[in-house]
Amino acid sequence: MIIPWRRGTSAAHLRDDALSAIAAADWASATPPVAWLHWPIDQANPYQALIYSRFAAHNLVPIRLARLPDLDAVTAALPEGTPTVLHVHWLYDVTKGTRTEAAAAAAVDAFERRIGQQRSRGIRLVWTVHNLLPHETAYPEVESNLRRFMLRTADLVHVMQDGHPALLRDAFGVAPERTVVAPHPSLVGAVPDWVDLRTARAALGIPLGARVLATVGQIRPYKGHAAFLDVLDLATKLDPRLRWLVAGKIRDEPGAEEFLRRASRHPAVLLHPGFVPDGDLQLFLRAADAAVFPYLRSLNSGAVALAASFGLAAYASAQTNLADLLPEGAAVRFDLADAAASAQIVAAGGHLEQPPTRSAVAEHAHGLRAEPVSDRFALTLREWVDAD
Amino acid sequence: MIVNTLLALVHRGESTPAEQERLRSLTGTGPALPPGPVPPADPPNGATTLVVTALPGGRPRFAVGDEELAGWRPGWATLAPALAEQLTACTVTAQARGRAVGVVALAGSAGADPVAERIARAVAAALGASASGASQ
Repeated sequence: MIIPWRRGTSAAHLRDDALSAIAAADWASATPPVAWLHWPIDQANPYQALIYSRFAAHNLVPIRLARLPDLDAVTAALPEGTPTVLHVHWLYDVTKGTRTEAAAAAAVDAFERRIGQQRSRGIRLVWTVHNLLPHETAYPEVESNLRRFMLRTADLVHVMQDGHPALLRDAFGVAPERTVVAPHPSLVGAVPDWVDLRTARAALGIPLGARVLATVGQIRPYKGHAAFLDVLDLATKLDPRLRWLVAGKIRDEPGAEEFLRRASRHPAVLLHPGFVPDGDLQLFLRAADAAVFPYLRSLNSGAVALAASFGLAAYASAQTNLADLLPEGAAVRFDLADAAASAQIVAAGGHLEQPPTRSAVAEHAHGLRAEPVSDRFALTLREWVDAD
Repeated sequence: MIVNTLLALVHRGESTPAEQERLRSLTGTGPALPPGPVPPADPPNGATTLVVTALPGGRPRFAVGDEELAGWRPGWATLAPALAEQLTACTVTAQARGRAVGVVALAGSAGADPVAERIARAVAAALGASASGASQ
C-alpha cells in the first residue's frame, strides 16, 4: 500500500486520514472509540501534539480539522454510532478576514449556528481556553460575545489552571457549567536538549561572565518587548553584566519596527530575529540564567512552559498571571508601569538564578511532561464521555 | 501501468490530491486486520453466532440472531477498498462485542466471497471467536 501524502497535514486527504485513524482504534474494547475532532490546528505550535499524545491509549482518536466546514464530511463517513467530540481550541479563525465589526458579528453568528447544528446531531462540544481574548483584537465586544457563547454552550470547558474559571467569570460574566483543569504540558522530551551552558554560550558568543535573561518565542506587541527595553536601560546601569537574549520571529505588527530599531542599537540586547528551529532552542535557553516574560496580557504561555523545560525560573510582569504557571518561588514579578522599580528587581538577581531554584523548576517541568499530563487529561475526558 | 504513472507523478511532486487518492486506492489492497488487540481464541459457552451473508451487489450482511448489524456505509465507496473493508470490520466488531459471539459463520454464497471472508476472519480474531465456513 502506498500513502503518497504526509498524514494529517492535507485538507484534501482529511477524510482518508481521519477514517484511517479511527480504523486503527480498539473496536473490541468495552470503551468504544471516540472520534476526537479538534479545530483549528496549529502545526507551528506543539501544544496539540503534546496534549493529545496519550489519547489513543484511552481509545480517544484525535483527528485534525483544518477547516470547520469539513466536520460534516468526516462525521458522515464515521462508522455508525461512533461517539464524536468537537474540541475547539483558538477562536481566531471565526472572525479572521472580516473588515468591519458587522462582518465580524455576522461571522460569529454563522459559527454559532454551525455549532448549534452539530450539537443537535449529538456531537459533544469541548472548548480549551487558551486566552481570554485574542492577543491583538480589532473588535473586542464581538470577540467577548463569542466567548460568552462558548462558555454557555460548551459541554465541557478546559482550562489550564485552577484560577482560570474565576478569571473567565470576571471577564465575561459567564461561568462555565462544567470545567476540567489540565495544565499546559512542558516540553521536556519534546525538543532537543543536549548542550550545556558553556557550549551554548560559545555557540552564541556570549561570555561566561554575563548574566543572561532570555525571552524566546515570537515577538509580538502583547509580549511587551518594547516596554522591557525601558526596564533594561535602567537595569544595565545597576548591573552592567546583564544581557537580554531575545530570539524569535518578528511579526509584522504595530511596534515591530520600532522595537527592532531600538533593540539593534541597544548594547545589552542580543537579538536573533527569525524563527528558531527546534534544534536551536536549546542554545538560547541553556545559555540563559533566567527567563523574562514582560507580557502585557496572556492567560497561558507555551514560552513559559518551554523555558521551564530548561530549568529557567522567570522574571514576569505583574500585568499577567504567568508567574502562577511556575512553582512557588520560581518567579519574581515586576510592574512594567514602574520601570525604575522593575529595573532594581531585575538587576538584583538573586535566588531565581541559583541552582536550587533552577532544580525546582526543572523538577516541576518534569512532572508536567506531555505523557502524564495527556494521560490524566484523557482519562478524565474518557470518564466524562462514558458517563453521558 | 497506471500505478507506475501515478508513482512517477508523486515522485516528481506533480501529483494532484485526486491522483494521490487514486494511487492509494490502487495499492491499498491489504486484507482487513483484527480491529483491536487479538485475545486468545476462547469462544464462551452458550455463545451466539454472528452470521455473515452476501447481499446482492456484493456487500456482506451481518446479523446476530434476528438483529442485523450495521456494516458498510455508502459513503465509503470512494475510499481505498482496504480502508472500507477495515472500517466495516470495525463497525461490526463494535456491535458484536458484548454479545458473547463465539462463532463468526459465513453462510451461503458469502463462503465464496473473499471480502466477506476477510472481514469475518478479522472480526472473529478481535472477538476471540472462531470463524467457520471460510474457504480455508
